[in-house]
Amino acid sequence: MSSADAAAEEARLVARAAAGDRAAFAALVQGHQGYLRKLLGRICRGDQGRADDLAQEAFLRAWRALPGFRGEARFRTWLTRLAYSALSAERPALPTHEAADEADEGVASDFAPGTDWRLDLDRALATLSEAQRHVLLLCYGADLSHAEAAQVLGWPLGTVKTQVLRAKARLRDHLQAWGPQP
Amino acid sequence: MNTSELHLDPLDTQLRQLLQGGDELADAGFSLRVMAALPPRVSAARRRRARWLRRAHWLAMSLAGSGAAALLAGAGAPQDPAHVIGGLVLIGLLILWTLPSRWLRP
Repeated sequence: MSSADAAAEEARLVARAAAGDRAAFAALVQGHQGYLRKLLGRICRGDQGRADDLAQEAFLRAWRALPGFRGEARFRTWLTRLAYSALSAERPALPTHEAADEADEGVASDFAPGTDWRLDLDRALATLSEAQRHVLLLCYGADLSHAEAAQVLGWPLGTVKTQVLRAKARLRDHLQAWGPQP
Repeated sequence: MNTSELHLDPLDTQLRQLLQGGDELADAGFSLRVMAALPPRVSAARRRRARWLRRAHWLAMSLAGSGAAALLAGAGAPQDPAHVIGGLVLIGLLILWTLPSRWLRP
């Protein structure tokens, strides 16, 4: 199935689910649960039980809000936004865009360079601020555009772009300091 | 990230590989769990009807309260039995209407 066909099929499922068709909603859940649970698992730093609870809450919110969904964003982006709403309801300390602009200090780390670039990069990611981690998870992990990540986080587009650039600059600094440049 | 935002930057590629790495989780009953937790969908018409019923309910309670107060007002004055009965009936209705009713829930 081409991406256009898949998008059209998804739009049909969304319309049917919005009208109250539970089977269509079940198909949407099955289609997106893997993506959402994986993303939330990363956000929750591997606590998959909590990630699954958040994913379930996001789907419940989606079911309630679907009649008002006008399709301005992709269903996946909208669902991710609902998951972030559930996350911020549970953890109000989720970074706001004002905090994202201010918090650029990151987390101190005293680790040594690893031989595997994945290991190095994973460790370098641990030094980022929460805001930078979230923005990279959305833009690279969830493959959202900057505009979609801005919608999900509720930040201005410029803040997202700035945070991505700062996060990458910080990663580069760490990786250059530890060994061969990626 | 969309193709338009792609750069030929090795760090971008490595970030994508790392953060998208690993298979998506198998469903393993998750969908069933979500579907079991879904609340019934309430139609807009039903929500509207419940809203109007709630308003009518509050109006009836206010009228009953005011009517009972008007009928039983005048401490010390001799009360007409019909007024007393009317006042008590309104108080009874007021108590009845304050009981929760599942018909008022959307």
